[in-house]
Amino acid sequence: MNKLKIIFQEACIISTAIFLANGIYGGIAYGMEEEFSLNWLTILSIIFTGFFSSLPSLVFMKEDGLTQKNFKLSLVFHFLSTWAVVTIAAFLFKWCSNMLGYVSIFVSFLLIYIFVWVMTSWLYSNEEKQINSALKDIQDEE
Amino acid sequence: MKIEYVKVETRDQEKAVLYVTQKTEDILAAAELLSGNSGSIPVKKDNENVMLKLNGIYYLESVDKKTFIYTKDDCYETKNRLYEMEELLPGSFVRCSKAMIVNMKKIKAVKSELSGRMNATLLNGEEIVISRSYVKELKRRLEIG
Repeated sequence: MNKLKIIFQEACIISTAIFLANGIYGGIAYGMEEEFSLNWLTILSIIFTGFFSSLPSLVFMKEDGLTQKNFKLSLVFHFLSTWAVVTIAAFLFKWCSNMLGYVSIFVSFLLIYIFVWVMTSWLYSNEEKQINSALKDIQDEE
Repeated sequence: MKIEYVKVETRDQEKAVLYVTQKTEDILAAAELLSGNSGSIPVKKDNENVMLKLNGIYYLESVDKKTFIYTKDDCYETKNRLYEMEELLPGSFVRCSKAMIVNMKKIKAVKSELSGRMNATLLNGEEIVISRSYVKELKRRLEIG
């Protein structure tokens, strides 16, 4: 149940990030006086991609966590499989028509991927500070 | 000192707040008694039965269906399984992985990894791992979650 909840949350975050990327792209396109539209098929494809690209995250969900080495391997697997989902979606839903379009999707994907991990690291660091501060209050004297 | 009782539903919710001008020895002893850490449990050391004070325990670990208890410099064995010990121990003890329970009062500091795990350095310098799935419970016990 907890895994399902995490997958659902992650699917929502990824979909939102893709919508955000589309929004930014739309803004740039407007600024450059280029045509940009978001039809219902694109919206559905974003939700579809959000769900399927959240599934590789299951590799990180082990009750006792992952060692640093296993984590690095899982991260490589996660990156490649998430990128595979995005590539399949890009071709299925015709997000791009040429190589330049594919490269721009890859760059957007890379930025979102890095952003998510930077945010995760920041959240963990805040959590660490909170826990250490609370531990100080109950710590025994040795 | 005035004593006030507030009824709560579960044992988990039991809590004592002491309004004191200073932490005297009597107050510290009372706090220790209330926290349940002043008790002792029967354990084995070199095949001899001894009583071990709860406030001296750093962590407990289950290895090959045996439960070991670690203090600052010693290791003891108990016939109880880890889940049974979890029921017996006071609130300062929290599960930190499938096979380990740690005394929060003995944690010096934690350091998080990007993988979600946390490395906890204990007051005796030992390091243990807190799994991501148990961090939420640790935060709840520390009243920060």
